[in-house]
Amino acid sequence: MKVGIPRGLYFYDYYPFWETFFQELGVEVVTSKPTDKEILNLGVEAAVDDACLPVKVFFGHVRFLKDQVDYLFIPRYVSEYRRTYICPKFLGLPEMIIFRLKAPKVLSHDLTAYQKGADFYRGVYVFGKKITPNGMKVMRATYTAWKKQKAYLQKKYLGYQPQDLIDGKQEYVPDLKKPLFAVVGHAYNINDRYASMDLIKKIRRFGGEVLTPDNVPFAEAVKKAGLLPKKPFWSFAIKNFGGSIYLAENYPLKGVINLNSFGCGPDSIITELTERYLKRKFSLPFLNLTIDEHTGEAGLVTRLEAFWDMTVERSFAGESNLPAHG
Amino acid sequence: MEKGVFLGVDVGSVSTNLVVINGEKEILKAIYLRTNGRPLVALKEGLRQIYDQIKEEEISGVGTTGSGRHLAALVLGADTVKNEITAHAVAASYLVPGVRTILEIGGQDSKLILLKDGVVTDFAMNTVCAAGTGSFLDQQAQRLNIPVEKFGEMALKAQNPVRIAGRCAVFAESDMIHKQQLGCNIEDILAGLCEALVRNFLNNLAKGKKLYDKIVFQGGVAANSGMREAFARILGTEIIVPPYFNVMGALGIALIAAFEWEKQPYKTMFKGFNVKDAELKTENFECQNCPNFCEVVKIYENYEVVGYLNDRCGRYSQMNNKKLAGIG
Repeated sequence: MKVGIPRGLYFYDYYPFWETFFQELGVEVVTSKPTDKEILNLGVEAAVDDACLPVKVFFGHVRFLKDQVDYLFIPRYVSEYRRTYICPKFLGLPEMIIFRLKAPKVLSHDLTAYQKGADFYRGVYVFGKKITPNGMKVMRATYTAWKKQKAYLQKKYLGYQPQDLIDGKQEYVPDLKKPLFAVVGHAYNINDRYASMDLIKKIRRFGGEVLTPDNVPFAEAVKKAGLLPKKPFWSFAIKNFGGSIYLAENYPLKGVINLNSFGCGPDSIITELTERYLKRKFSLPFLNLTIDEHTGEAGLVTRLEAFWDMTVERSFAGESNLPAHG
Repeated sequence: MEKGVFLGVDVGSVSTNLVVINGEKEILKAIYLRTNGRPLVALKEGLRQIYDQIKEEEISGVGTTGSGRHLAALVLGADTVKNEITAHAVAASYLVPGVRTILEIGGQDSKLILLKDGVVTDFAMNTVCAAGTGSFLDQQAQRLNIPVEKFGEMALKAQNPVRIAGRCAVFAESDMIHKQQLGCNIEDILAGLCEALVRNFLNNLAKGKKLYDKIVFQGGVAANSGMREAFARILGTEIIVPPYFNVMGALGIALIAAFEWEKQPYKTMFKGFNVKDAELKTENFECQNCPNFCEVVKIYENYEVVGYLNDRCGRYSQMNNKKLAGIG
């Protein structure tokens, strides 16, 4: 049996877990290729037009995989952590795919940790039982997968980015002594090299290094999110707001770069709150980049270059002591 | 190595500007040309105009900026390639020491740059939409059959500026037409448009940022006295329009080239004035090496390939000189 995992949305958060889980159960795992023009075109053609870019990209990955596999793995992530929710588009994702793409072979079930963390694994167990009747085997696979996921998380806390660990041919070792930038946004945007116009690599090519909310343990992010008058109920909002505060407190950041996809509802509030808080508390420079289906990079490069000049190579404009012209 | 003159080139969407400064950073020549959609033609024309006064051997450094900076850099052989935000900030703090706020409105984009002690502390650029920039004013002037140079003058004559919706250029246009059909006179409509654009600029870019004095207004649109007046009225403070306001980007990059030379003298990569007569041609092709299908631009000078642009992976552009490839 072949199961296809589309390289979109929660891919970069949970891929090591699911890959190990299915392999332990004797299932072959196939992933789609990293996003490129073909995937994006496939997605934009098929997705509803008011969906955000990452959802369109996900559609593209599903269409790419659809005919190569026996089953498409599209779980319904409801809640990732206790007392939090995930953006509503995740809740409707399996149905969106099934009805929009006429894809009948979808492997889906609810995954929710809203009441308690262990409930998440109840969902995982249901997936396992769909594949094998042997409950013991499922439990063992879950345990091995969990260990793998834990190792993945530990690596991320050291400053590795998911794209380094999953997409990279050889492993990239981050150097946190370089000028540091926090890139804040959803993991599925930041790590998608095509959609984000290779933002991380661009910063590294300038000579900087990148930290993202992925590098912050969720428990720390929750503590920092307590600074808000009311705790946000989206886990992404907690990760982004709390994560950027944590990074600002613990690392000598040069600046914060926020990556939004156009039309993201929660981000429209959280970005604003994050920017205000960071400016007030740390007076950190903040750059907001919005991505959609653009392929022209000039706009992004200009802003990024100017941000780099402003935060790192401050010397250029430092010539104000020169006499005025004339 | 002797310090000669420095050439700064700003290839923008609407105008292509060239500035030559000498070693003491005095402006010898400033040229403002319309790009007319053909940056290479404009660039050649610009070189032709400075060719008489500047000797090729004198040039110690060349810098390019603006949205066409990579193209210009390949054709000219530039030593410094920088984004226009930095270039504008350097030029403004050079001409107006102690500047704190720069309002820059060009052809396709508008920028707000905040400085403190000559160092950029924050900037904002308009997002995907080009409403409220020079090309929109251009369009409207054309529709009303007024030369764009007269636009500001007429707006200043307004007695009661009408209110125009400024959020989007399409809304603004239909609002203007409604007001015009109601019989409002054209001066009032033009003044209303200026106010709408200023409001839009402040809403979109300033977003509650504190704008400190000295405020400098530059870019092509600063020529429009109606816009200057509207900024002064809405911000309630004096607006400085520096001399050479329309070539600030080119001046800034010339200064940067000079500053870099002062830090570390270099031998210029300038290819010489022959470029002005060279046959420059570009050709697009779709790279078939991966599914990204980048539209790569190939640039020819006298039938010889001088460089490539716009490939994501750098397969072609890494063949350009190293300094350019680094910017990708």
